[in-house]
Amino acid sequence: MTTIQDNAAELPALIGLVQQVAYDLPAGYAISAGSRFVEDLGLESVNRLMLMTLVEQEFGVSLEQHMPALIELQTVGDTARFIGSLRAGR
Amino acid sequence: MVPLPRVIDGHCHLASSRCIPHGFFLGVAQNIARKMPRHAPPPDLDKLTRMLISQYEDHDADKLVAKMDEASIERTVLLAPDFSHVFDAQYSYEDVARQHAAVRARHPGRFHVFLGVDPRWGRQGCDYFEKAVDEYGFEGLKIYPPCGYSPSDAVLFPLYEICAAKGLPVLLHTGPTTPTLQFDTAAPSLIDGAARRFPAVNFILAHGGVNFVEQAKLMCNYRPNVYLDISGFPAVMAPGGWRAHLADLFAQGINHKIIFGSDWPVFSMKDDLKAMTAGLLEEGGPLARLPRPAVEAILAGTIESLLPARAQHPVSTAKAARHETNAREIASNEC
Repeated sequence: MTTIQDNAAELPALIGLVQQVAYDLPAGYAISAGSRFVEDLGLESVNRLMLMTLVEQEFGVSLEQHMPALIELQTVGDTARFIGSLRAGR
Repeated sequence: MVPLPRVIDGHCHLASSRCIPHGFFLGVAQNIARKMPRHAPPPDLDKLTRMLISQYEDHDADKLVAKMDEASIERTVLLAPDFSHVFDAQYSYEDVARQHAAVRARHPGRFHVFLGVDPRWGRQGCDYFEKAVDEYGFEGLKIYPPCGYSPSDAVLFPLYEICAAKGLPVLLHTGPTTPTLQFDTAAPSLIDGAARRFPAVNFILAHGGVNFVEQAKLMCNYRPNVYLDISGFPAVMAPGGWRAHLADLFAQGINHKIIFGSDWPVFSMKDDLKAMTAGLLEEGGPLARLPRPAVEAILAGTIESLLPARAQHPVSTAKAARHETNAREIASNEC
């Protein structure tokens, strides 16, 4: 279960980026760490690629070599932690 | 407990960047770039293209087989279109054929291959297609009309004659694709001339359950040798979403002509194979309300029946007869 302590510092900014590419988000839905890209946010492959492009611009990380791992990430929180680990050089 | 039906994926691709030219990916990236939020800095198109290509590194299909196992997919038809006539390609159609043959050898019994050869390669291409069928055991022809030819153009007839002689199906792309290719040769009705001229060849309208659906379903209903697949369904442009769209398609009386296809790896960032099959079969899903024989035919039986007899994995005469009976039952029981 995701907790506040688990959340990466990147989470708020990532949520902002997700809002930009989640065109079919139900009205009033609040994106959280636990939001799933497909089931909850309805993201298509195209939207997820757009998101990754925005993530690179926002966080100054290169995701090209990490695509196979990124595809397997199901939630916004998992992705925030992944980005956090990249930024920390882990 | 009712066992899950068998699944044969009738429309899938080897996720290998060696088999798909850079120009194809570039076109897809252009479309993605156009969709970016207006206030965002313009994306680097080359980088976006590389990110797309980086999802196509499963050259030996090991990852695909793992995904098939997760989804309980027994076998998969790998489609290998030939883009080498219209794009600069790393691999020739011969190279593509060799790679797919190697994948079959690495994963025995899991893959069928429909090989593409652009008809404009002429006699040489035609001869190679026949050789690949004989030597590698490939089971069908894949054609890609957006490369710039009608599927009923006479230039294809020599390839169709081989298919007629060897009992091979032909699968043709229908609908839009990468914007660097032609869309006006991708309408389902364009197969009509070939379907009439080659009644012994079965033609499968790839994405026919998703693109130009009215045309595709009419072709299936009135041409005995025309079928459609539902590959691309997660991205169907339908107001009620793909579940409602497929439920409507499955209520048209042509379920004996409909084939499941995942179009992997195109939707691998949205739904993996397990999510796709589970979504179709789940309670309230589009297959849940259909009679069991119809479900079995859509998920496996129909594509299996279109494969050459040698590829239908030990199907006894009695079993084949049962399949024929099932097909007739489906036709008469459909809602």
